[in-house]
This record gives sequence, C-alpha cells and structure tokens, in this order.
Amino acid sequence: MNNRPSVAIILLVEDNPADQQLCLRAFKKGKINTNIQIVSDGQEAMDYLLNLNAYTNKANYPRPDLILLDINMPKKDGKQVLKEIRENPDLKVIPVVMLTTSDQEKDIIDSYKLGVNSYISKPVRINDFVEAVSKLEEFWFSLSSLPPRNYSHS
Amino acid sequence: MISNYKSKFKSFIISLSIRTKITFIIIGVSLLAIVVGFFVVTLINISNLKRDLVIQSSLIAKLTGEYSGYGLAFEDTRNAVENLQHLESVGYILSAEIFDQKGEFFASYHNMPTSRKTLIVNNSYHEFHPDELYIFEPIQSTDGERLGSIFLRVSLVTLNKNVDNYIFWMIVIILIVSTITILLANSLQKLISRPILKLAEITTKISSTNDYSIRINKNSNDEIGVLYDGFNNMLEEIVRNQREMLKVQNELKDSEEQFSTFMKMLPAAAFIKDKDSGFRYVNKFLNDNFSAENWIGKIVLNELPSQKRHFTSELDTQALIDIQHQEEFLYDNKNELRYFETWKFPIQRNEKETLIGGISFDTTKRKLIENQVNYYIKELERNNQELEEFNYVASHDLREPLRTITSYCDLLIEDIGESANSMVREDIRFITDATTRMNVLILDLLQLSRAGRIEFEQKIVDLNELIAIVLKDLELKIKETKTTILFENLPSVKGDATQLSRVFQNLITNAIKFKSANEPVIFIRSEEKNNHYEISVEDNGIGIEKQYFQQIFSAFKRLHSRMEYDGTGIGLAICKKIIERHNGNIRIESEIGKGSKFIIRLKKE
Repeated sequence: MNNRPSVAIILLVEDNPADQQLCLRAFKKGKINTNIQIVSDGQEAMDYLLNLNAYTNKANYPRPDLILLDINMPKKDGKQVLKEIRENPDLKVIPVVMLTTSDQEKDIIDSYKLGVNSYISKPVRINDFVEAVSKLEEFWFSLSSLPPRNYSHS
Repeated sequence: MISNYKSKFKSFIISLSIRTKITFIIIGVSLLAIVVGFFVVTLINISNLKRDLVIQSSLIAKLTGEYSGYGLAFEDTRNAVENLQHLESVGYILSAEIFDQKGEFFASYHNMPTSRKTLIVNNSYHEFHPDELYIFEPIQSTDGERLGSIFLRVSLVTLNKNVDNYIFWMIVIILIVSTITILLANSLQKLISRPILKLAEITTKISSTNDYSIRINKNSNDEIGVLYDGFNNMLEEIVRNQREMLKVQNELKDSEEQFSTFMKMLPAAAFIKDKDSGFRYVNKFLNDNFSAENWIGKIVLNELPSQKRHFTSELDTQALIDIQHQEEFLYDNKNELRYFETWKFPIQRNEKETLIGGISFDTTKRKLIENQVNYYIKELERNNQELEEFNYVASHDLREPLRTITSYCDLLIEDIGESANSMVREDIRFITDATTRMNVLILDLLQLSRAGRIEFEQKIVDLNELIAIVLKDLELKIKETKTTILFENLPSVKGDATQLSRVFQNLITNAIKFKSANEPVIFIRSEEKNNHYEISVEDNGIGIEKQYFQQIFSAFKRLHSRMEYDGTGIGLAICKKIIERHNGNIRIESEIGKGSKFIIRLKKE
C-alpha cells in the first residue's frame, strides 16, 4: 500500500480515436483518478517508454504504472510491443493489460505466453466498460502492490 | 580312267528301267550259265574223244607190236610187214613203223613215207600234232625183254571233223536256248517288275493328283504283297495325319484369326518385347496412333530422355519376373499428349527365352478430367479458405465499429441528459438495438466460421456425461420453462466434446424455444445401426413444415419473425457444420403441431 502512487499513471496504446475517447470517458464516468497518457500505435508506445524521438521529455511523459494495450494496431502490433517490453530489463516489471476487441483464443494464449498480466475484451455497452475499468483500477491500484516507479534494472 | 568308266557304267545301270534291269539280269545270268555249261561239256567231250582215240590207237600199236615180236626176234621183215599190212583196214592209221632193239628201222606199213630213221621207246607215250596223233609203244617179249619199238601216225581228220560238228551243234543249241531264255526273261521279268511298276505308277498318280484315297490291290502274298500292305497302310496313315493336320490347321487358323481380330479391335495398345526391350509385336492401336510398325526390331526406349529411359528399362527388367504397372505419357502421331496406364508381364516361351508382354490403356480422358477435378478441388479449397478467412476477419472487424456505435449511443443518451425529448431517446435506442442484434449475428457467424475452421479433437466422448453437462448449463432455462428432458443409455462416440456439446445445447435450446402450448418434453435416444449410431432429439413443440426441412440448416434462415421467436437462425447451421466435420449427418423429421425430431447420424468409432 505504501507503494501506491498518488495518481496512477496509465499508458493507453490505442490506434482508434473513438476507443481512446471511450476509454477516457469510462475512466471519467467511473470517477477514477488517473493520469492517462495516450499513444496511437506500437511504435509510439515504445518511443514513449524509452523516451525516444517525440517523447524525450521525461517530465511530460512519465513512466506508466500500468499499460493498456490494444492488439490490432498498424506498424507495430500489441503483441510485438508486449514482447519488447518483456525483453527490456527496465520495462519488464510494468504490468500490461490487453484491452482489445479480439476474443480469438490464439491471441489470448499468445498474449499470456508473452507475459501479459491480464486480458480484457472491450465491452460493447458503456456501462460494462465503466465496470471493467473500475475493476481494473481496483485490482491494480487498490489490491495489488505495484513495483516502484523508479525501479530500474541497473 | 577305270574308275571313270566304272562310275559311268554304274550311272548307266542306275538309269535303266527296272524292267530292263530284271531282263538283263535274267538274260545275263542264264546265258552265262548256258555258255559256261556248254563250254565245259564240250571241252570234256573233246578230251574224251581224244583219250578214246589214244587208248584205241595204243591198243592197236601194242597188239601190232606183239604180233611183230616174232618177226623182230627172227629178223623176219616179211612177217612184220604182213602184220603191219593188217592195219590198212583201220582207215585212220596213216602209217606204222617198227624199229628194232637197237632203234634201227625194221619194217613199215605206210600210206605215207616214213618220217624218222631211228626210234627207241622204253615206255609208251603219245604226241598230238595239228592233224595227227603219234603213238609210241615198246615191243616186248613175253618175258618182258624189249624187242623193239612201234610208231603209229593216226589221222585226226575224223576226230577234228567230229569236234567241229559237235561245236557247231552246241552253238546252235546255245542260240536256241538263248532265244528261249530271252523270250522267257521278257515275260518272267513282268512277275517282279509289274507290281513294282504298278506301285510306281500309283505313287506317281497320287503325287500328281494328291488323291490319297487311291489304294493298290494286293494279288500276291510274297514280299511285294507285304510291300503293298505297307504302302496302303502308309496311305491310310497319311490320310489320317492329313485329316488331323487339317483339323489342327483349321483350329490354329481359327485361333489365329480370333487372336488377330482381337488384337485389331482392341481399343488399347498391346505389344511384345524381347528381353532387351526390342519390339517384336505391336497391335493396330499402337500402329494407328504411334506408327509403331517402325518400332519392330528396335529398342525404342534408347530414344527416350535418360531419366525415363532408366525407369522404363528398369521396369522392363522387372517385368521379366513379375507383372509390373506403370503410368506414362507419350506424344502420338498428331503430336498430342496421351496418358497411358501400362501393365507389363513376363511371357515364358521356353527355358531359354522370356519375352515381355504389355498392354496399355489410354487414360488421357480420365487424366484430363482428373486434372480438371483436381484443379477445381484446389480452387474450391482455396475459395473455401478465403471465404472462411473473410468470414472470420469480417465478423471480427465488423464488430469493432459496432461496438463503437453502441458505446457512443450510450454516451449520447448520457450527454443529452434529461433535456432531450423522448423521441430522440427512442431513436437512439433503435440504433442501439440494431447494433446489438448485429453484434449477436456477427458473433453467431463467427461461431459458424469457427465450427468449420477450428482445430478439432478426436477423443472418445461419453454422450451421457456430455448431455448431463449441457443440461446443467441450461438448468435455469429448463426450470423456467418447466421442460422435462429424458435421455436413455447413450453411446460413446469419437469427436470433439466442446463442439458436440454445442450441437446438443443448440438442439435442446431450439426445442425449448419452439415449444407449443404444452410444457415441453424432450427425449434424447440412440439407435444402433450397422456401423453407426442414430442419436435423436425429439420434442413436442410446434413442428416444422416438410418444405422447410432443408432450409432450416442454412445460416440465417428463420421461419418465424423475431417478434415470435428470438435468435439469429444460425444455430442449426452450426450444428450441421459440426456434425459434418465429424463425418456424420443431421436431418429432421417433423409434423406441424406434433413436434420435431432431429436425428444425428454418427459413425461408430
């Protein structure tokens, strides 16, 4: 509990603007106080996490406590991003939750094999969505202990 | 030179007719015997005549000498001459002379002058001269004392005359006998030559007319008779052999004709090769289509490309031992590709030679159809796969915007709040309902697509356990609708438990959904057939008209409005697909108002 961040930082990796908004609305509707950073594809996600290119400013783009990752994205898809995160010694401790429309068994199994922490199908109705993100918030930021933000492998 | 004449003589003899030969032999042998016989008899007779003359003359000389003994002893010449003169009466004595003890001439009687002065004869002897016989005899006293010698000259004229006469008659007789002999020979030779000539004549006739029914009449029991019998038997044998041969020949011809007609009409290639793959025989089909006449005596496979050559050569070698099968293709006369199915097999001719027989059926049409079918199958498979991929992708990607629409409809209602009028809310609800339904449709479609695509387990599934689980899942619905479900001893089948569960879940759900006014009752039974089970799910629901029995298994076929019965109409399509993937089939028996019976036919494991 002592590790709980004052405001949880969530990195949402989602290429669909409608879904980005929906997610934000769901958090808002659920009255969950979080700092949600949004990137639109896998490449940007990695840039953000590694503070590269447009994301060199660490203050503006802080290290997230949780990553919400869509699977189907242009350029670099969710599985690839997940793989790179888990292969990176500094990033691999960050919990990753797949938030995606795919309920294909193969995608689910692949994601768990790659070390995803949770796999959530995007609900159709907004109220279900709100419930889902509330539970997410509750599990990761209230029940679980997250690794310290300043954790670094070195 | 001699041998030359000898052989000429021999060939001359051989060239003579048998008649001449026999005649010559008879005449020759007879004449030889006659001439030699007469000659010997003549010689003996002449010799006898001469001996008689000598004996007679010697006796005369002796007697005359004895009589003259006295005259000699007393040197009485007159006495001696008188004595001698008695001889005059013996006409053939030409002269007689007596010589004394000392050999001095003593006395003579002669018609001719004396021929010698002295003569001493100790032993009697004689000498033949051409026309005369000389007889020399000693003259002895009674006590054996030699007193002198007597010499007679005897004329041979009479003797010679007799001899000549004798010879003359002999020749006459020989001539007569010879003539008779020749005449006899000429007629006697016929005894032997006629039957032989007859045989020769008949043989010539048979050989010129080829009429083997001719027989020779036997008229003697000698060797010729035996020969005739033999000849007739031989003819009989020839006729029988000929008949036999003709029969065999006809049979052979028949069989040959049959075989060649068969080969001519055979709508396939047939050939015979020797052990080195050289062609010995090709049938009409091969010749018509490949000008195979040119192959005879050639090892055609030497002209093939090396890989095919090795293969064919290898196959030919194996075909010398056992039947071989091969598929091949060849370009025909018109340079068109033809496919063949060929069988090659050994033909054991004798211990030394084995040939290769072959027959090839033209499979071009079949091959082309096969190729086409294979092409279609591949195309169909590709299409199917594309369709399923499309189905999956489409249903997956279609849900994405739907979800967004639904979500934003929710947000919209929230955003407009209580301020908006109820019509707007109603409109938005229609949108939400439609998108929700579409989402369900897509989910079902996804399930249908998965039923054909998803990996598939092959395990023994106990249907009793499986149904029990399905009923547990449907427990609530069953209680709500007061449905009674009965199932009896169900078999175990091979398949995918999850998918089979879905089938029964769909069927039971359907049965409950389409219930009649009565409380629903569902029977699940199994019937064992030859090599499969028929598992039926029977209800007492509303039933289906016969005309829809096929339709209901197609996707999105609804027989009822959504108001009456909820659902997408894909459940049975999924069932059908799953059962078909289990190599089974599903059908319905139903009657309006009485209920429906779905029958699943599954193979025994």
